Amino acid sequence: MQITVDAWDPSFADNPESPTRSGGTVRTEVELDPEDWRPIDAPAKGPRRLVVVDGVRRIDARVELLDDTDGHRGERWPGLCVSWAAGAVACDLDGHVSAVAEADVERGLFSAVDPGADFGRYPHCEVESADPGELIAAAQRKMTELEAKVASMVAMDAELAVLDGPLRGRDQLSNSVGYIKSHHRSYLQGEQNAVVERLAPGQRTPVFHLVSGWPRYTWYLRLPGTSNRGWSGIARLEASDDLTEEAAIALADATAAALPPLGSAAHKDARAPQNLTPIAGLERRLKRMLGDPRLLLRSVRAASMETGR
Amino acid sequence: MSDSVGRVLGTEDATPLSFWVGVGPEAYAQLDDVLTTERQVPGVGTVRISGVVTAVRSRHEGAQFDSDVFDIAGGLLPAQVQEAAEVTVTRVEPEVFVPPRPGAEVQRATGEDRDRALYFDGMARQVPLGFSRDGQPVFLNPDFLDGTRGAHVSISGISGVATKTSFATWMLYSLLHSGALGAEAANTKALIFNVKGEDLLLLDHDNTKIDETVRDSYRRLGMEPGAFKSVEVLAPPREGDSNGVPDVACRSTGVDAFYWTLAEFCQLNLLPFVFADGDDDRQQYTMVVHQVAARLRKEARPKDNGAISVDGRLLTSYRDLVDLVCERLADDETRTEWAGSAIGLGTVNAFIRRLIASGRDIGRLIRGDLPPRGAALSSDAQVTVVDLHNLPDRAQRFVVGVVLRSEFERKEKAGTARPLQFVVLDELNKYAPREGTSPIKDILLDIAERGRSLGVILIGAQQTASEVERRIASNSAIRVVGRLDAAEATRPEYGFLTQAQRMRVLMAKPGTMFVAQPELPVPLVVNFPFPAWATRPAEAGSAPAAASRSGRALSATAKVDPFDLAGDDEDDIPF
Repeated sequence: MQITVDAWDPSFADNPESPTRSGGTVRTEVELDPEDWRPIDAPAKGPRRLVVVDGVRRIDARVELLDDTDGHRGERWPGLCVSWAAGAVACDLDGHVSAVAEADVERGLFSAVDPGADFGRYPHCEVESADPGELIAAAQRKMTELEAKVASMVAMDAELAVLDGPLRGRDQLSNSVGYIKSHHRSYLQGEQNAVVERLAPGQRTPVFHLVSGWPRYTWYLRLPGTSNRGWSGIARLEASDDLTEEAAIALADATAAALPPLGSAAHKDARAPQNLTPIAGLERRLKRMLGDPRLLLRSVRAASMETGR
Repeated sequence: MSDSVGRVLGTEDATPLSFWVGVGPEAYAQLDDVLTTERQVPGVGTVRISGVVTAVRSRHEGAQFDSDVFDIAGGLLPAQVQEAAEVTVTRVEPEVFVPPRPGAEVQRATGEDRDRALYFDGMARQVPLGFSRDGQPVFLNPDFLDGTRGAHVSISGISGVATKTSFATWMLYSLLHSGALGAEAANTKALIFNVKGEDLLLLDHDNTKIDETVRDSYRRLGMEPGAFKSVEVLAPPREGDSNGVPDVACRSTGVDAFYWTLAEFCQLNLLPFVFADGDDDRQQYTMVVHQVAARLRKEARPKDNGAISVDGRLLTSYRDLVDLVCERLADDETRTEWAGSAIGLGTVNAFIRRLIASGRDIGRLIRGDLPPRGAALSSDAQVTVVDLHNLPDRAQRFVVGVVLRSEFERKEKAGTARPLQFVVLDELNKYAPREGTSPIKDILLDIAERGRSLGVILIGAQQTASEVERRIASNSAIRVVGRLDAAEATRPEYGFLTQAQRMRVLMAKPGTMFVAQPELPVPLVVNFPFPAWATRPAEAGSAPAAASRSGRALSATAKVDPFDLAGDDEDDIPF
């Protein structure tokens, strides 16, 4: 019996390291024939100028809106006051400089009904449903939009742009890859799936094409730092379906060369090594930019007193 | 006029006495910079808060672990380098002690703003002290030097690198040549004791080793570079020389020998200064000392060339005097008269032992074979250097004690504070130690406590202020610190230094001094220019005409050729 310990902090309980379910349509012969699948070493030289894009969001307050318009009087609607921020870190590995190149903060009140008044710093964002899960999803979409906006501003300055999370909706940039830290689904079968577990640190799987909701090229990469067994330290990367197969393979090589040195250390990051060092630094910065939650909550309370008068 | 340095930090407490400034990305602040900020106070108006930078720091913001620095420097982790500077407030105008507001813009003070921050605007007269780190001049208020509002200077620092004596002479030069004393400068006198080397014997010689930059710094401070104009050097007579030729190697002209005749020794009651060691005072024989001194004053009859006769016996040297005293004390019949009654034989013998021992040290200073010199100090030279460095410890104490007493008595009799008499004395911890008493310490205490009104200003230097009599240090209006030893710097005597300055004095370079003056709550760091006068023979240029007794403008350091008959055209070589 072999037991592997999850490398991530146990509090990230919803991120099982090993994928369980499977799904999607997979075409494995993009780079190598399925029979030839084997771990692929990184090229000696990779991109030196990277951009890493990430976003954070925080629920500042949960509110309830009491409708007092005619016909709906007495109806209660849930709402969320959310702050989100997105930013980009430009890493110049030759110049030994990394700096936050672009960062932006937005806020919004997500609810199905318009409060009809100015609600503090939170402009109203219309949501179709009153379901709390749907409200959060809407906030997440807004954050993804902001990330895409930030990415579009900085990505072309770099040789490789790493966008945190799936590439969905942000796939217009030819040098961008989506970076997925945790794996809910296993897309590969049998022999090919075994190749993932055989990866040595810094190696990647061949590129394959995946349609699961939307089409993209994707590959797995093992980051160094934890044990080399099982699915620990494995990240999945996505590239746009618009690319040629050759371009997608070139991007895969670039990530295999560039990303392993960025992997974080276990004692510094609860989600090591997948949570890349620049992302961790950026997230700290962005969280600070979101502002003090107690002050924001107070401002929400003050605004609610104002509108309720 | 002023340029922005940054903004007042809100992450550190800002108080009316000190605050932190976040330094802007395009700016810098270094230690000793003068910064200023403003705030609006309802009902009062604009309050300007100015101060001196006493600490600076920079750090990585966004880094959590020490090892993050490698990720940041390697370009992996985004972080910001943020510098901050601590400002110790020197002046709040008007005096409404409110803290500056976080976020308020902080500017570097220049011109009038800087003068106001450092109280230079209120100084009716200014004595240049040198330059601060930023190259701007720093001034001293002479009111605290000449006795108007305070007097005396205490200079501390370790030997060799602290440049205590250089600073003391520089301060004198600045005081006399900057015009701060006005017309009074011409009559102001200085007495300098040279305790080691022949460093101070060439004060009247231009320094040939200084370049135009040093000269320019003198001019920027408002004075011409040069040597002291009127200097008299006094040196002890050579050991064993019956003509009283001064014992000085580095100069041949402009030097006089100093000594006291036996007649003066007896009449002026100088014997106690032979026993001016701290050790001496703890012994029983002080009684004997005073008794013998009184006896000598009564019995001695002056003869030619400073000799005396006691009971019809002619004494022409200190040794003769010692012999006579020893005889009188050894003789049972005369002992009571000379030593006083009820003095034990052991005590008398202890006195005799020490008196005989003093003959070797003091012998060449007390003469019965040379004409009296009159006053110890001639009154026409502005600066008198008394060279002690060739003398043994007991003789040094004797000279310092006697010279200081005669000067103090002269000023006391004159009854007026002006013209001022400055006294520069190094190794104050030897002459006025914290423990014990001695005749010299009594005089120094007198100077420290009454000198201000009598116009005797003490510029004392010592390696360790903690070992100097507290009353002398506490009477000094101006305190100067050069490089200090680490253990010494932590002592309460240096409490006027800020925490950061206490660490900085450990590595202060020669030529850097921390000067505390009563008006400013923070000591200022001063770089004083290199001396424009020679400090060793190799640097010496020409001396002013006054220094050469023959009237020729010859360098006093020039070797005199005994066979050179130049200037003597009449006499030919007689063969």
